[in-house]
Amino acid sequence: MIRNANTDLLAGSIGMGLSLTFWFSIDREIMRLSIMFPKAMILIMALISVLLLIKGFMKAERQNLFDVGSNLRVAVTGLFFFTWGVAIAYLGFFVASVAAIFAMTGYLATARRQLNLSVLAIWLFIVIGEVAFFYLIFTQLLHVPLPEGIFF
Amino acid sequence: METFFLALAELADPAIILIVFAGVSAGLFVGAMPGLTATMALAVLLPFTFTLTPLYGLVALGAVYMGAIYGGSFAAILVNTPGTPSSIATAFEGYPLSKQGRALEAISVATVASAIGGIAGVLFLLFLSPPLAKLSLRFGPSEYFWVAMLGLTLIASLSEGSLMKGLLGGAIGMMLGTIGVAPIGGETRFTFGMPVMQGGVEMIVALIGLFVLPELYNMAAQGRTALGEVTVDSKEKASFWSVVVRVFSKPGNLIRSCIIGEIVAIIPGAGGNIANLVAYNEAKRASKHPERFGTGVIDGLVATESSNNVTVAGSMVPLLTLGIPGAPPDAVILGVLLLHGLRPGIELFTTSGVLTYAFIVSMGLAALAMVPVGLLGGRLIYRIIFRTPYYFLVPTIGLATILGTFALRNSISDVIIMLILGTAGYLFKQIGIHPPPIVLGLILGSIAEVGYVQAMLGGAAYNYPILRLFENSLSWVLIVMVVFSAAWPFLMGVYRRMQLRRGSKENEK
Amino acid sequence: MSSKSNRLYQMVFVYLCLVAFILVVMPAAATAEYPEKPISYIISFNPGGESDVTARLQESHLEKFLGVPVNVSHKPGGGGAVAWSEFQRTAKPDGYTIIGVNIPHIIGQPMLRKDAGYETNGFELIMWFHFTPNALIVSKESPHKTLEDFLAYAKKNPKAATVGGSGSFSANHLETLRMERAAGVQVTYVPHTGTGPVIPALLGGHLTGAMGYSMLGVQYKDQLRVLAVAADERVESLPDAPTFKELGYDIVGGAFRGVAAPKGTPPEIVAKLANAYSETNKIIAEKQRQLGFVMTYATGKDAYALVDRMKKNYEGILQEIADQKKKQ
Repeated sequence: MIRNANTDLLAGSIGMGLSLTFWFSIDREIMRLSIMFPKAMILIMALISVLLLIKGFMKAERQNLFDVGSNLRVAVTGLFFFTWGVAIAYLGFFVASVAAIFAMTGYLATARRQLNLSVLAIWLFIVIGEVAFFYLIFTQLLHVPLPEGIFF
Repeated sequence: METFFLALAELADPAIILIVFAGVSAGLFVGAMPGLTATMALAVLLPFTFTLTPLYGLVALGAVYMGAIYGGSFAAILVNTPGTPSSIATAFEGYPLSKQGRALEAISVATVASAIGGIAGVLFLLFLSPPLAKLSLRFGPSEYFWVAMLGLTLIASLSEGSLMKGLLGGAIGMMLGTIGVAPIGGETRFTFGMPVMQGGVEMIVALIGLFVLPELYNMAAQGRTALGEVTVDSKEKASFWSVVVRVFSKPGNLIRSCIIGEIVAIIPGAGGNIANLVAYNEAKRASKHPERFGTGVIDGLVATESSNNVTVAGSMVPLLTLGIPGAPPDAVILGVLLLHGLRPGIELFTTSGVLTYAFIVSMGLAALAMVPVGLLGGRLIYRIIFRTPYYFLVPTIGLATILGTFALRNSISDVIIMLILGTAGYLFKQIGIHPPPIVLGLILGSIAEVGYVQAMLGGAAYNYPILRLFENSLSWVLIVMVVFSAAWPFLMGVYRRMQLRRGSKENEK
Repeated sequence: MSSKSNRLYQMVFVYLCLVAFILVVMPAAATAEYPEKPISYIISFNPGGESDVTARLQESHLEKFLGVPVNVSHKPGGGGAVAWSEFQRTAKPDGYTIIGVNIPHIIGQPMLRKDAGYETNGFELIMWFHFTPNALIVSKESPHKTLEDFLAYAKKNPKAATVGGSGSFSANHLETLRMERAAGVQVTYVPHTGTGPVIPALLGGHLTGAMGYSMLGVQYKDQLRVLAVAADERVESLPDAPTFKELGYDIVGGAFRGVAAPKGTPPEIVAKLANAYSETNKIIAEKQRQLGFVMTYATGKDAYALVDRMKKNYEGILQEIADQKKKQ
């Protein structure tokens, strides 16, 4: 929870940051045709950011950020998602997904109810079924090769 | 004339009816899953059509396409995430309706509107193909540039809250679109040294990330979904006939949205993705209470869902007459036509006329089939989503999202990009930068760039190449529309202030 | 206690036996006949394009000759570079992953891009199976009826003639540059994001002409006129279209499409694949010729020779471009 944050200042800074990042990663040797549009866009973005920064100092729009529900849950969910994405490359789609979904379901459920071993066992069963369903449809029916890891 | 009736006779085949219903249902499912799009569904269906006769294959593709564009509304209404890019604006009104416990009503409205739109598209295709095709050819580089500018003025009206932040979002979206190979010049930009970034940020990846992930994070934060239980009163309003009456009670809205859908559909490259946004904007402008938009206005929902289904058959005007796909799914259909030795053009309507007309009419059938499939399926899906606890819903939608993103280009990097954009999108939302302008910037940025640079090249022989942008009459029509659209908010503000002043003056008397 | 440790030793013993067994059997399994499991055929472009259509035509016949399923998958991005760079980085040289390759893309991209991520010579080439020659095309409504008309117009109005094509520094673009030099004219090349968008631009009168592939002339026979084809001989499906050579301009070029394996793939496997592709090519030749393709059968040494020959053809221009960029 961040109280009374100056959202204009924040937005403006992010905009400036992006403008500078993009500007300084322009290849010196790139041809004019390829870069004229992005250059114009970067300038426009920087301009808007400056305007936002100015507004932030004069008539700032203030808001409470991250004030709904549990931010810890959001952060952990995010962590789970990223780990899942990376794990797919190493553990393969099936294993990574079963692990990630099971862990996430269990974690998110702690907000609503008590967990016990039998409930978790049932859920593991459901999760494996769910992932298997999608896995089979995509690999067998649709011929989309899903990444295989050290198991399968 | 005779060919037309022969075509109708072809359709009296029970297999056709079966294919239509199966196709619409499959399309519905694909469209409803955030992460799976109509183009993907068709690309995947393509190999199967080889084993079917040309007619069956085309009917199947048409039905799936129609169903998918309609299906996108389900995810938009129930979970605030567009199932396909053509339902971005559906969430604007559909989701608030769900929160108020009017989800079934919203689904019924979307169903009827989509069916009407689909049939309208078929009618446009049947009767107005030649003039529409000619119009579509007149869109050259300069026109594309101005169309993109017109689209950008939408950012102003779609910005929830601060206009400046909306513009910033749009600019960010455009910058994201420049990553990768430059459309002109062919050089790579902003790859930060990673070869995989040559592929840039695919629009669907950004769409899924920016719309779906923040919603998942929201659910995680709140520990619940936001679906309200449907009240008895709303259930009554959701019945088929009351919805039909409701939708037809505002014919202006319906007609305008369908026309917008058709015009956008024939501009190759724009497609259904933009149609729903433009139609929504126009519905808002024409309404007596534009400020209510965003709280669950049925008219807005009608506008988006009818216009996007018009594009299904509508975008086939340039495809069947000239062989130019108007939208990405059309490229797949073109592939099927070529593979069966059918060349787009006059021949398609004369020698292969029976097949062609049968195909076109079958899409109308698909539109009609959407009503029973959608109403029943809708109720079912609603009940499932409503009963599913959020802790199952979040990871499962995550699964569909990751699968869809991966299946796009067989790329895990896309999945990672999607997650990064999604998380950034959630953070941006907190400070007031919302997803629609970003995605709009992404879509329109490349159209604008290509149009601008190509127009400049076209004017290479002039002293001031930029004059090429102002050369054609069609360009001028668009320029006027751009100016009008950009100035509208200011004009409305002035108009309203004048109204207030007049009102207060009268009060003083 | 001892019975428990006995149990433990027993288990370890069984485990070691199993491992030994596997280690012995595995190499034997590996030297079994190739191919035994499905082969993954990657296309580095979008579904619906020329590479994809060809792959689908080849798929069923390849499966017949190789005896295993051949799964086509798409990995578009960066004009093919995303797939090619990942392929050279991660694909195992066991013959179960192969990728479609294109000339001049694999020549031009590594030369002109710092971050292409792959090398022209980093593939084990299997075969180049067809060639789509470039062709100068105009709309049927165009006042230019022959190549000479077009060039005369271009000479009188430098830079006014717009020639559309797919991509920058692609086959279309490079051919346009060669034509400029050979004919001594200056046109303005207008790149498009693919072959698709060029057609409406041409038909709508937004371009004077286009340098596209010969197949377009076949596909849009009623609406387009082919002024010249950049091939050694007239293309079968376009009997009325002269070649640039006939008209006095020695320009032969276009896109070659082929298939390659990762570097280090055993020669026997490459040979088997080359054979399967050659036979497949013969079978689909008729259908492809009708669409405007020119079949080629360059395998083994010929495949590498082709790459070298095309490299030399384009080297001059590519070097010019690279130098121009450095001067900026």
